[in-house]
Amino acid sequence: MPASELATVALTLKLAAVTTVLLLLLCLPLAWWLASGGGRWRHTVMAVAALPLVLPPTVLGFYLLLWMAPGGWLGDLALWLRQQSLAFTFEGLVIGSLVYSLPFAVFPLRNAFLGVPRESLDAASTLGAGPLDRFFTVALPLSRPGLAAAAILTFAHTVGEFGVVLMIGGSIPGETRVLSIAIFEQVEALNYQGAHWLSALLVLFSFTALLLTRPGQGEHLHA
Amino acid sequence: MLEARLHGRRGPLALSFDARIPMQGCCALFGPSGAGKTSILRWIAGLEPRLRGHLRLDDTVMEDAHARMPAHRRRIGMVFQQPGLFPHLDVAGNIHFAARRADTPAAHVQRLADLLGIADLLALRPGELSGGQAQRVALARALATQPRLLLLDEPFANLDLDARNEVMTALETLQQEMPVTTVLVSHLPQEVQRLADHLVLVEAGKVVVSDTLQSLLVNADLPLAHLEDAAAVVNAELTGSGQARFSGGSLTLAGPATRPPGPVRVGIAARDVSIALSAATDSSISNILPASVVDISDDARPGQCLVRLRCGNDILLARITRASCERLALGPGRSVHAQVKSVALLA
Repeated sequence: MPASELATVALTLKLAAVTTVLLLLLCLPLAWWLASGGGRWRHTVMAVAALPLVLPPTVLGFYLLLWMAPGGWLGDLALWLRQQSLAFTFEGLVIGSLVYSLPFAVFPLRNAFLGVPRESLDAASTLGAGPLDRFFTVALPLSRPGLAAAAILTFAHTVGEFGVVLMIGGSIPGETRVLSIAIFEQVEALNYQGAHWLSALLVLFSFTALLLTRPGQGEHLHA
Repeated sequence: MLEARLHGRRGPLALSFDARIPMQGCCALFGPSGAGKTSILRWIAGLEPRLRGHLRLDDTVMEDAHARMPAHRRRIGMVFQQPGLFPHLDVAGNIHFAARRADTPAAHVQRLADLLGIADLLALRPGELSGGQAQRVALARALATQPRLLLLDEPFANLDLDARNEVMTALETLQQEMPVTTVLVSHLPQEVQRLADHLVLVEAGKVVVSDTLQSLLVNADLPLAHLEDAAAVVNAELTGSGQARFSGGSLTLAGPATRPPGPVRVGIAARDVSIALSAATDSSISNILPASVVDISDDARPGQCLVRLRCGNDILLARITRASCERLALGPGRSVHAQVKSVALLA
């Protein structure tokens, strides 16, 4: 594999890793809130979190681009903070990926939290564990399979991102040129050999990821 | 004293609970399923934040119109129908979870484990325990926080007969060795007769009556005295020769003594007591006690009546036919002899 393609693979993995870590940190409290009642805004928040599942990536990308470009609120904020806009940067891609992959983190986590037995949480309360204590010592350990599923799905989904990246990232080698963009360009240039290599790599990767999130993770509970 | 006043709604049920429960021994909230007993118990534990009432445990106000102490600060232990053990921790880890949060000394935890017979189970996972074992571990875990009050929400409901007996025996051992005030929710008379000292009868979310077990069991105005298994419970002293001595005399227990001498609780079922005017010496029944008739009331079964007998300081129940009652010309104050066919050692 040529050096430029290696850089593309490395950038893709970096983007997916950063996105996964940030998204999990963000979604743990959000999913817990949704699972434990969530108040009257619950349905609205759930619908917003599910939007990226149904919207064309181009729509997401279009709005993100407007917000991130100079004049957009995110873009101006970035300009003010670090004298640089967000569009066509790695940081911009991370923000786009956070939005794009949000449902793949929130919903598996919420389902995992919903599966935590009520009695275990009640028992923990009467044993002297406060809300945060219960979250970290009961809910989170009992949700490990869901946490793993959320991480793998988020990572894989970010690796497979195309439309949003195309809209807000372009194809700057080492900065925003990820695997799916590279494949698109190879095909455009009629370099089917190169496209084959990268495509096969993605198929293999995605298959492995799905294999790891197989259903029936109950056995992990006692692992 | 535990003072609990709760007025509110739980689904279709209007709760109107008001009781003062002595902070010693075991108090049972007794009543039919769906009477709101579990909701009341969960509220006392602090697990029903939507229900607001007044709750005071000795000098500590846990809940009133202005403030509410969350469950994890109340130091009220609870054991549920389902053991609710943490599946990601082994037995030792489950108990340590509780002990660590209350700074309970290791020696105390060890003693609990010994008393409840779970010292050999510490390395097992909850999934590897039998129902009775899991419930004993849940008890040990609840007590490892050194709670001021222990709540038991039908802890035997999902156990088979043997396991039920196993857990009840564990509870009794515990009450003798490490007394802790307990509130038990139950709808089974046998559990209540065996474990409770104080009884709060609950129906449709309301307190019907609250008094000592002994007095309520023999109150002819309450449904308890009319159950098929209706029984009087007396406190007795078990002697080395297999006699249970109580205020009304001495009862010979059938079979060899299985328990060491000491205080015991004896159940005498209404259907096992018959009445004679003279002390029969030619009867197969060996337990014959002098008694006097307190009153006679109709039993729920046609043709039968319920006679309350004073025997020493205790009241016994006798269920006899209306015809026998008339033949013997029984009436209040009449001196008789109670023939007790069998007695049960409860605790």
